[in-house]
Amino acid sequence: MKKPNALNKSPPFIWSDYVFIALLFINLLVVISLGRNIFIQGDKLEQARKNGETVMVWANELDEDFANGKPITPKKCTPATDQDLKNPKFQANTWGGCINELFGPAGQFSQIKNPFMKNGLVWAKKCDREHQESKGALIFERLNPSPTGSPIISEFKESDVLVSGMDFRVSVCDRGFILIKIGEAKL
Amino acid sequence: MTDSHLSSHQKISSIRRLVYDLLFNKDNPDGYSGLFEKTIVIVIIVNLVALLAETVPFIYQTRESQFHLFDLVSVAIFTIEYLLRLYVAPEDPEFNQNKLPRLNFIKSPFAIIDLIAILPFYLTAFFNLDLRALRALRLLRLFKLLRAFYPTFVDFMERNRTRTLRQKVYAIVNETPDSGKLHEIFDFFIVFWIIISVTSVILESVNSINYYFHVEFIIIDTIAVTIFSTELLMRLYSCTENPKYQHWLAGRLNFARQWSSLIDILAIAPFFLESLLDHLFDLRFLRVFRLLRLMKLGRYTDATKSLFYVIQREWPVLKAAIFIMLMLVMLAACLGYLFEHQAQPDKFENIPQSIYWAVITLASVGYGDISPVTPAGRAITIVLALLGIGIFAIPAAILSSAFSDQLRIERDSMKQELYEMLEDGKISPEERSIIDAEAKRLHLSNAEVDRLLEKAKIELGLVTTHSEHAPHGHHESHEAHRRHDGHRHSLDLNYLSKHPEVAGEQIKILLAQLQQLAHSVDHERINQYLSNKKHATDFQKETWEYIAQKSKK
Repeated sequence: MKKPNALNKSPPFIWSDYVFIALLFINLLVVISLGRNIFIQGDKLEQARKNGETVMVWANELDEDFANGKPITPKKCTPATDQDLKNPKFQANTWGGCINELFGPAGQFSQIKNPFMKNGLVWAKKCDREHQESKGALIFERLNPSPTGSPIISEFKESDVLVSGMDFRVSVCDRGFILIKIGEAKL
Repeated sequence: MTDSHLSSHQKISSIRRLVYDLLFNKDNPDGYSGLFEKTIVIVIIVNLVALLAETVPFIYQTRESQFHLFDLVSVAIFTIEYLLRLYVAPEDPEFNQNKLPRLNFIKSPFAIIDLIAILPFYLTAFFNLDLRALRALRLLRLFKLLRAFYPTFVDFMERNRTRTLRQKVYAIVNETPDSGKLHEIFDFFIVFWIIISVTSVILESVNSINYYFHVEFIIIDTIAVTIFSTELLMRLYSCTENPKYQHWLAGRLNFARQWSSLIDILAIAPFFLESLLDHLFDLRFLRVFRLLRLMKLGRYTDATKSLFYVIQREWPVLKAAIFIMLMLVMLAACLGYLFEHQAQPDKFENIPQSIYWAVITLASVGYGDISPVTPAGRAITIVLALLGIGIFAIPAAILSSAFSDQLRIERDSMKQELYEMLEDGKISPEERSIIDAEAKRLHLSNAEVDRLLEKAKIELGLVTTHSEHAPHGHHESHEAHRRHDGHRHSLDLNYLSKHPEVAGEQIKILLAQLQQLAHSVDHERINQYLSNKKHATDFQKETWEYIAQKSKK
């Protein structure tokens, strides 16, 4: 049988070759594990955005139902019309009542959780670095018409009366406390 | 009957041979095997892109039918490819060694991959099975690419059989005589990922796109960092093969301090910093520095090196031009402030603001947000605008002329190298590969290299000019001349006078030829011819007689 030519054989690995191969594996593991962490964070943001989209679907349906004269669920979110406001006995719904109903234990969005923090807020008034619990929360902002065209953005107060045609914006507060716009809707 | 059977068999066999030669025979220069392989590679890549796009509901839901149609077309192409390979297997030297070449083909690893790549489609289409999981097997189409890369890998291993792992890694990441096509594929792969990575960084900044592809961008970035960090490790590990960085530690540290290595480190640093310090700071702003990956492309063109060299060389002149520019800007800003401050205190509020106005005016940009209103201010502006054209053009002119100078110098040094290589009168394959590498670096076309070679040969006296050799426009003659000029023996006197050894050899050849002639020629007739004063001088006649006499002895 023909013996393999020793001159044609690859030289055996030396210690530095093993170190190199080990470094390649370590690098691969480190990058994959760090990438996985970033992916998990990204996935959480995706989940937070999906929460926002769910709210947007409800808000758009509300707008349609209201326009078609259908009853609004929950009732506490039914906006007042100009006619209603003229009636001095009319009890208008407030933003605080509506949002607490929606996200309360029996509310439509009771299942929604803050994806970033276990006990974090599901919705918050502000996306603020000083309020760490607002990370991953849904942020509702009121859009007030202005003469220049672009609306003036303001924080919703619990006592704000829900009036038909009221514009609002749904955003998500991401992990760096930057607002990510999901959409705009009308009551 | 037998004859007709035989002829039909021969006919089938010749068709099969034709198909094999046309589409699969890599040794056939007139075939289309390269084109066929490239087409299949492109279809595989587009397939993978489609497969990834299918995972995004926003894209897939609106274009489901198009995706299905594309899958159908791809499977048709892959099926035809598989059947053709099966058909021509008896012609393929890889399979026709044994009795059943087609069975050999079916059992081969590549054929199994090919089959798995198309099988899920037929199983779902004909058996009405819910084989959605099998659709994931379409990812195996990626392995079909191995068919294209495997021969290159085998060739590389063959060339570097006796080399160490480090030498092999060095040959992959750097161009060496033994790098083969694998180095080109490696370079292409890195460039491809630089482009993908930079494009994804740019698209990430578009909110509407980032909204839908946020997770996909993270995956792309992680893959890019994996590739770039592996590349950096490979370069750091193998750099000691370069004589400049031989020491195992100091060499590597020196290599890491190189501009190209620093760019490689900066290209991956944002990922590691952001991930490792995430719990302390929000370092997402660092992501924009991923655009530095574009600078990695600088490694693949020597034009940037030439540009940096030119800036370095012309720095004293550039410094003078910049100094004049700065003087002018400061003077204009001060005058602008002096004349306009009172008239427009809000615009020419201070000298820094006037500097902004002066630069914008001198550079002929003229945004118009700050403009002079006083007559003196306007007069200065006129002078500034006119001076600006000239002053700002100076550095540009210096750089452009220095750049063309640099190019000329590099070409001259290449010509000098050609002279040295042509010392022995011909270009060896090793020398040719050095010339080709240098030509690639200097962005010279093959025609330009040939022209330089031709010029060097003429100047060295290795060939005569075309006008002496053949009439102008005589293409055939020129080509023949070009092909054989490397082996010409008739060297001219200019060359011989500078090379006594070659001259000695030439004299020996001539004397040997004369000796041969003296033995074979009719002496009576040649003496009669040379005796005529019209045909030869006394010296020529006497020399011939001497050689003829010596040859007889």
